[in-house]
Amino acid sequence: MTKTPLAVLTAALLLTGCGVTTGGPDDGTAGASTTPKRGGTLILGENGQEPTCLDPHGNASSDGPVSTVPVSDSLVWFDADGTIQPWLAESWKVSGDGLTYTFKLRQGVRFHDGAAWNAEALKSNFEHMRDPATKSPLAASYIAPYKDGEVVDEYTLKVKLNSPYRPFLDILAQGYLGMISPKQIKESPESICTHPIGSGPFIFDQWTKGQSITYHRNPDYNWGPKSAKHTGPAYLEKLEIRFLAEDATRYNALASGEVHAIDFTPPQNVEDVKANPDLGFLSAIRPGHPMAFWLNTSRPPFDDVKVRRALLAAVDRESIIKGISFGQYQVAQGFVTSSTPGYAEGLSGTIKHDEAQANKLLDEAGWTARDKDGIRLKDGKRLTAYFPIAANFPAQRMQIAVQTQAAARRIGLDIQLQTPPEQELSDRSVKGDYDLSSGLWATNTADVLWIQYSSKNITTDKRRGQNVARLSDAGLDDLLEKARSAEDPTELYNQAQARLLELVPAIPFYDDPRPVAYHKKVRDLSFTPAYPSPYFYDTWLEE
Amino acid sequence: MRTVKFIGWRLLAGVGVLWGAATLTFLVVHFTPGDPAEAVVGGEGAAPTPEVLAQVRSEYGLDLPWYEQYAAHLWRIVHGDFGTSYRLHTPVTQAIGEQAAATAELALAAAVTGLLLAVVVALATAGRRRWRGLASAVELVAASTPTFWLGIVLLTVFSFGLRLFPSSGGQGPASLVLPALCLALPIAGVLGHVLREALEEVLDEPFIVSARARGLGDTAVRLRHALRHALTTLVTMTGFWVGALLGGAVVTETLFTRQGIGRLLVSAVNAKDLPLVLGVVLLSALVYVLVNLVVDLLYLVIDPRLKEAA
Amino acid sequence: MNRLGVWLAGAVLAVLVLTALAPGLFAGQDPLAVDSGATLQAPSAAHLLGTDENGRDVLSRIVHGTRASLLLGFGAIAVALVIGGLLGLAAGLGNRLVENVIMRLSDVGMAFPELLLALVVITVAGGGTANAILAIGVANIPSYARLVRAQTLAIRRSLYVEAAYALGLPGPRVILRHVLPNAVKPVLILATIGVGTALVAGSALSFLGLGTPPPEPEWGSMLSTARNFISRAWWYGVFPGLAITLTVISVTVVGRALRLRSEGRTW
Repeated sequence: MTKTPLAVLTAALLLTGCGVTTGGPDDGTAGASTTPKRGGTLILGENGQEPTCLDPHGNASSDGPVSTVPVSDSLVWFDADGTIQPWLAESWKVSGDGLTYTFKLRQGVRFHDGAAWNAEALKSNFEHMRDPATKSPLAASYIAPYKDGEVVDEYTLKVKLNSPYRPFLDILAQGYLGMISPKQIKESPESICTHPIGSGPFIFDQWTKGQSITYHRNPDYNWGPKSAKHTGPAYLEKLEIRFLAEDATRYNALASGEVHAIDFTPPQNVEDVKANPDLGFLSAIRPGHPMAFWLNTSRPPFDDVKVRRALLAAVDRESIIKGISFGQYQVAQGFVTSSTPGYAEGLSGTIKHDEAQANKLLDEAGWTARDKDGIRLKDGKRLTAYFPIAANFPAQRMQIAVQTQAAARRIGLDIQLQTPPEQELSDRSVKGDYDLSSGLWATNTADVLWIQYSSKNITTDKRRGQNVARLSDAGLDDLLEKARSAEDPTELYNQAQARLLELVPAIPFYDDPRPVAYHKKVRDLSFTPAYPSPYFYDTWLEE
Repeated sequence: MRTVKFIGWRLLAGVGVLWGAATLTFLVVHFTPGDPAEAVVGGEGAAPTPEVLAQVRSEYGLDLPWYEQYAAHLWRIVHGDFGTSYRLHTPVTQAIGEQAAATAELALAAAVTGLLLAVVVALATAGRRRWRGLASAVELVAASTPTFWLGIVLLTVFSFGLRLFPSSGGQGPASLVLPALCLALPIAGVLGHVLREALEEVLDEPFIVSARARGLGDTAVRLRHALRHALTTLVTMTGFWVGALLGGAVVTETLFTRQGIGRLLVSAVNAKDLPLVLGVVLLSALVYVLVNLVVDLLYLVIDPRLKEAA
Repeated sequence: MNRLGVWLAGAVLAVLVLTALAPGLFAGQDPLAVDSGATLQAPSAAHLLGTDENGRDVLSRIVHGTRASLLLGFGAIAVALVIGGLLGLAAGLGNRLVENVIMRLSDVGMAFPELLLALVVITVAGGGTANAILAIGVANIPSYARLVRAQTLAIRRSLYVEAAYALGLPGPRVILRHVLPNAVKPVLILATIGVGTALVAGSALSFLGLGTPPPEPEWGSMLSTARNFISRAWWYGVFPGLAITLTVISVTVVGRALRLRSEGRTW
């Protein structure tokens, strides 16, 4: 695939925007050795989103890729500039109608169990992803357009799709679609969850559930992605990922040297990290949908676009985000994050905090009377919105919810936070029985807009979809559908983002970062940009 | 012979308790709202396809009538097969086995620490005016402090502040110290108080007075005569401290990011992971039944008069 | 235990109850007033105990949280006492079948550790103060049922009840006049101490995110949130913790004093 104008554009954006930041101008490496050393064990402190299954295709946890990418390589590599580069596939060709992808595979790649990487192996991975028995919560739907694969020769697979799906390659670069040994898929698929076998730079050792995963170096590895800094085996002898759910514990484990690096650095500690000369900081904004509160557009009160716009105008997002992130997070400017290929930078600044405007909109919408608590009334009904949340609702989101609730109250909208049982919660979300719902969706293409807002993705009895806002807008549908098959979807995505700013199906809050803090003796720690998470192939320890 | 018959009856009753616990758990988990299939493959960040949901339902028999599911679960368990966890995709015995050791380690360490502290402090301070006030006050504070707050304080002072101990579990014996203390102190507080009251009662008994009159030293009196009494009290309170250990473990495991049965159960209940919930509940009920049996047998050893009553 | 301590504990309890009934007397600020610009501020003249992560006044939240926190402890024990008491009475007075059914059920109930049983109840019934009260209450039913049954049996066999029956008094009257009060009194005193344990259990549920829903203040949930900010805001974690501990100590001291008195001993 050649560089599209889109990729060039995103590259420029990333350079000027807040794509990746490192620990200050002098990152303390002056005078230190720059020749990588072999050996050592690196320990990474992770948050509490421990996957329930280590089959890359069998989990949807945000800690899935960081845990499986060491073991399992992907077909292609998604670079930070938005280009797709070879990895286990050497090259590929897309047919004019966008329905056929022909992959030429890299030769000489072996899985940890000795199985060979070839067209048959790729095909069995696709089959494994969509096999209902895999119980894939994510990969299966990501490759939903996959029809079948035809083995042309030992190293060529022709993949046919049911419908044009331009984001196919981007998606394939994500850790959730990493490659697993065809031998394991065939002989003991049930063991993949607890002991995944891939072709990656690290071999899976042990998973102590609730605690840690350990890996050791794959001495035969010689097929890293092209953009890696070196070839051959990884430098680290061993790797351990330790799950430290408590924010305070995770940060203190880093400060006391119990771990070398931590993922999801708590925002309240970022200043301390940056001020500490022994620590480095690496952060990337996750491409995809920003952290947002979705508004249920299919029932009152948010079926009225004026009420949605009123709430958006009422909330002082700048001040809330500054407070909850201790000045660390970037306020979302629209419905994809600034690091997403296709982000419409020209639209930034469109959303404005304006309480008077919010009140005016609600007056226009007919919510003119007020009861004794100051809540607005229309035809004797209170302006109330229900926001069911889970017991393990993240503390930060709770802060946003509480502060949003306070802002809404000021304009006479009563947001009620509810904590139903976990099960009732999921039932209600399937039935659409809520007014607000929270979340984000991290994926490396603006196709996230199709995932979140296409009317096809409204959950029904037949189909589970991610259109939590239950938005159904013919114009938007058309744009998003066309973008899926367009050669260059940039303009289509621009229009879609502009349309969404009019429709306001959500209150977007912040572009979710993946902030990693590490001791300076950890060198060349980087991210897999497809789904930003720490990547250890080039990493080495200076001791 | 009597004892054997006694044990037999108790074991039979124990099986009844286990059956009751399993039935109750099944009914509660089954008849509360929520689709387990959603819990298995759904949640934030997940996008299960209809085929995947259908697969989960048929594979786990979730589409069968409730009585068939109940019978199937019971049938399996009776045959020693605890099934496969819906959420973890691993056998329940394995899932529990992986976590049980960590909980047992924590509970054991906390039990030993708590009991020792209680016995030593009670023996040393019972009947001694000056010390008992202080000990009593400390015990009261320990017994009244919520486990999780105590844990936060311990973590902040000894781990984050002084850096004496690691802040998370599973890093060797040093990482067991704080969680075990956190769990043990409130228990020691309650037991210490009860023990001292019991001891003081004994120390006033005529046989102690006569022992002293025979010239036995104070330490000897306490160790030889009073200790026995103290042990009976501990045995009587077994239900309390075993319960406190198991319950407190959930919070302690969360706070100190340790592995353990408590966290396993919470996540299993949340996910309607019935085989796993049943497994953990049965294990905990089994512990309860066995502990009570052992306690009753201990009574027979400590106080042979009760043999008649049995 | 000296008199002074008991009086002091009693006074603390009285103040707590007053706070729960009329929180406005003790805190001038709105516990729900969010100020995004003044989060996690250290104690000052404006905020005597500092502010929380949403810029709310910690003192006001502790004061206004008293009601929910006390309700958790007292409510749970009330639930356990009433249901457990009735079951215990029925078991103690009823025929063999009734007694057996109740006692075997309580065996099953006892087989679940208290907090775990509460967790199960919460997970199926949902969070919230009422459900947390129910959860801890239900978890305590078996032990109270047993206590009351044991008392009932002892009293039923006692001389004065036998005498009452012998005098030809009707059954229900004997139960109401003689069995019930005598069975319940000692249990009531033990329950006072139980309130302390229930308070701690309730705050543990809140700590696990299963108690009072936000934004309403409650001590356990305040602590639960505060632990995320412990390195920046010690005041936020220390004061709600002190509130719980002080309350439990007071309840326990008063309960123990009542027990000693009922046993005819001095404090």
